[in-house]
Amino acid sequence: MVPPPHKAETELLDHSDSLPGAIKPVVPQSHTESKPIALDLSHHLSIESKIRQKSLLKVSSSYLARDPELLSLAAGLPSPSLFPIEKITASVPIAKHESARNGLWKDDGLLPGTRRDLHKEKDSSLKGHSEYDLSGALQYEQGTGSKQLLKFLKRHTEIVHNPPYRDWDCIMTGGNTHAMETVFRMLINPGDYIVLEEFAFPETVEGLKPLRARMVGIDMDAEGMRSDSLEQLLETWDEAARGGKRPGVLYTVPTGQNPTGATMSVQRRSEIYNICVKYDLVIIEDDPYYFLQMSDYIPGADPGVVQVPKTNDEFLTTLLPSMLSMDTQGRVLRLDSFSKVAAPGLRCGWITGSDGFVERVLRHNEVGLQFPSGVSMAVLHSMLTEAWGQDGYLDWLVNLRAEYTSRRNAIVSAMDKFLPREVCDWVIPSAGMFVWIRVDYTKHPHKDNGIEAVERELFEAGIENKVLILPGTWFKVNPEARDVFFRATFASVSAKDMAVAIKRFGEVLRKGFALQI
Amino acid sequence: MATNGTANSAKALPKAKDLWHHLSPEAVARRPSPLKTAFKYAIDPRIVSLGGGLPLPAYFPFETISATAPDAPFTLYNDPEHSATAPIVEVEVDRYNRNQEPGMIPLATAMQYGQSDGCKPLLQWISEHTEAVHHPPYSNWGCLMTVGNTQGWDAALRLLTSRGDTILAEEYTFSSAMEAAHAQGVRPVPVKVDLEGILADKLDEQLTNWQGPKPKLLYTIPTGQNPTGGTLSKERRKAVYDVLSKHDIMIVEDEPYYFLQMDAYVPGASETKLPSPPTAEQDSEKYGNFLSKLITSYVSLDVDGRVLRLDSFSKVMAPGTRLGWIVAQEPFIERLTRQNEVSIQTPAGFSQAIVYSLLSKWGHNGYLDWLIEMRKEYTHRRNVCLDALDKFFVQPSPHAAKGLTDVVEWKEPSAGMFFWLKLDARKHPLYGQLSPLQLEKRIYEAAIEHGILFIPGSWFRADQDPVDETVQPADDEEVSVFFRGTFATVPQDKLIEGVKLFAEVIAKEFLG
Repeated sequence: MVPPPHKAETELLDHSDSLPGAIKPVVPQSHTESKPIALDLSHHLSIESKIRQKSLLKVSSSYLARDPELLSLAAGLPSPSLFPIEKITASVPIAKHESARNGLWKDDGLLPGTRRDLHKEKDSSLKGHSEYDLSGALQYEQGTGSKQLLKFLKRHTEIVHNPPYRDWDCIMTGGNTHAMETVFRMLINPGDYIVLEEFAFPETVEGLKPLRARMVGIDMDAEGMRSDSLEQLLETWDEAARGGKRPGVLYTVPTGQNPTGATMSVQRRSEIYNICVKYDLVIIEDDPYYFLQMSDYIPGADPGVVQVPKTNDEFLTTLLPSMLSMDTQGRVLRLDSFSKVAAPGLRCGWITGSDGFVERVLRHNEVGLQFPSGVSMAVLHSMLTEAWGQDGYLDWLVNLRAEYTSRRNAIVSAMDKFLPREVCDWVIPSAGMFVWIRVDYTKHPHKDNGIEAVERELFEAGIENKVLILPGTWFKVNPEARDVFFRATFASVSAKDMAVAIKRFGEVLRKGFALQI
Repeated sequence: MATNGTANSAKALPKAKDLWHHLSPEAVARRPSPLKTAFKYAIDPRIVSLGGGLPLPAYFPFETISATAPDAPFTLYNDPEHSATAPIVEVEVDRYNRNQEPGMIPLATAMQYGQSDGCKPLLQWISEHTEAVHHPPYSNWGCLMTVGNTQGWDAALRLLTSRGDTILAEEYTFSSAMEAAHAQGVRPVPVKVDLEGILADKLDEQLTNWQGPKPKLLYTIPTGQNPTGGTLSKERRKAVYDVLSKHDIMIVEDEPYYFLQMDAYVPGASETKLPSPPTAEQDSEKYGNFLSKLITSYVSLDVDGRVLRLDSFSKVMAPGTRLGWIVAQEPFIERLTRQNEVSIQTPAGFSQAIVYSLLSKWGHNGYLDWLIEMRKEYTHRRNVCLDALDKFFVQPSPHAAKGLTDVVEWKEPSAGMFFWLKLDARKHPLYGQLSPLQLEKRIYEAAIEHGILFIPGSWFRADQDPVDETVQPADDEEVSVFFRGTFATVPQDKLIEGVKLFAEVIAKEFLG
């Protein structure tokens, strides 16, 4: 049947504990022992998640693990000799930390001399070339994803976030959209309330509605979700009036939030975390833009000139602490992804959380995604572990950071130049891909038509003037709009085109608000 | 096939029935993201878009990806070591495809956020393949990419069922599929089968006498069924289809083993090499003959549009591609697209790009050549297995002077990866003292003790409700226990050794 790997069958592959690539605890024992154990938060699991059982078929794997002589006609795995792909070669950049100053890219491509060809063959591991060969990558895999790649990701997570409790783990996903669906189904029963930022990625909202989750959007300011509003909501929660119990889940994009571009300060993160502790909420920290944090914007400076951290250690200190890094209780499920730092088409990410939650995700993966594409994992494994290493990956991220900083600088300087400040304002983003422009609709001649009508009028005038910039109401979680907003991205087009687009949007605003041109 | 096909013949066909009432409330509630509506503006080249949050393809850390694959004429079977003279094909996918190479989805597209029904060129290819193989008999069918049939089945369940619903499944079935249903609060009810598959008259009887809300769908693996290895004949598929059409029940056909259909078994066949298939020059009918030998799928009988067919590259290419597709009527494909948008989004771009390049290089006929080679390979593996079963279970041997045919029965698999041994529990010396389930466990453990692992049949029961072990069946009733083995995975010598070891266990258990 289905590509069957029976869990049964996937489980039967699990000899990997004895292989060199097997995951060993990455934290030295002495270090972990001082950390607390995660709280038991299993009361947060949905009915669907609680019901999931480990397959009977898995019992077989324990026999195979115990007795390597045992001959198995049990697992229905196709023979790798029949896989029609003998070898894969990927050409990838080798980033140097220093190149972040000068750029790694030219004319929509990498500079010559910065690339290296990486190979995976069916039997690389037999030849001693790789711990993870193509025969393995193209075969059924466990629901955790490749152990060898996961080992790298766990070490990376430890270097960057160092979760302050002992029993945390990582599991691979098909990217954060898939991870989001997984954790929503794991934590939410129909009718449950969930707390989000007042503006969110529409796929998040559209994912939650069919699950009959009830969403409450919390007010945002320049730093994202307001902790005072959150506390007030939870403190004054009236079950009878709301027709449901207090929310048990908080979903947030703390860094470079989509669509607002807002980034929470350390203080804000800590406040939100503590409120969730106080009211017993599980936190879904969806953080795909984490490594798109930027250096400060300097008005009037050349947008292309970017401050670059001198070393990777310095780079790590510039990063805001994640909620995971504050989580002494195991109540954060952190969603990480390669989509923004490598490519969306990899469809590959990972969840970090307590063993208890990660095990539930594993049971879900086994009957859904199974595991990310073996081709994606093979290429990532080659690139991250064989070509780059932990340090080389940070070098790549430093390069990316410089690119995004210079793009952010370009759009903000265009906005300074072309947008009429008398009717709009914005917060300069310090992370992510988006800038969020608030437009003062009360000054618009048609303000009496309402917020949404003014917004639509401006959006349509934008299309007319050949600029596409997205209306804020497309992102609202609560039914009522409270202001006119537009989301612009600085990720997708050249600095020159960004300036053209912003200039056109400036014209739309001036015309719409009947300002002097 | 309005979405992705162009078949002229489709125009003459009627549209599918409106079966919207089968959708779950969750599926009905899905709405498109407003962001998707913005894409229509971005098509105008004069518009500068600051809309979609798409990372620049220049930042993808992949300049090219290439793959080496075998090429026609394939020599897999005759040359398993894949010697240096074997024909190969190289495919390369680069970032932008500025040279406009045909048959390439550039990485800038494949690795970008994209359409949630899959990369268009690959989808088009798969639609053409589906038309050539299955000819669905209604006009508005379509295809949607999945990350394989496990996810395809998860999506089908979410599309058609809700907590508290029941579904039908073969009495013994892929247990992981039932576990997926179970977690969603959906209860599988077994349908009576024989060694070939579903018994249509029993199914009709079951549905006619059904108490309470009717089951939402039938989950079936009609070809090379897991675990029984059974393949249902065309006539019986037609009968099952008619019963389900009469009772207005949806069908999910899970068909990963469809192209692992085999030639008829001739005893002793494993001793001789199978002949090489004729080349296209030698036999212009080669592809037509191959296609005509394939069993009729449910989707090719589907005049109503009530079949969701789950197809996959896992068994005919590699599981790690995590690449499959669903064939169904367009209104369902549209709902599944909405579902993909908020879950997997799309299958991985590398998988889609490489598989598409390979299929393009091979061409439709080259892909059929590959499938013909797979057929041969699996026919041989199955032959080795059946010859070994004959040698150790039928023929007299040191462990069983009269053979074991009194105790063991099997049907020759004509598709798939599995063989299914039916043991007559009444012939076991401890029958009566031990329940069939206890006997099964005893044999399973004795086999492990003897160094051979088979999977007990009860693990595949569609309903995993506790069995009342105190009840002994009537004397005249057949009492069977089953074991599943596979001939797909291990090399020939191991397979023969495995069958021998299991025969020794059965002989010891039953004959003492």
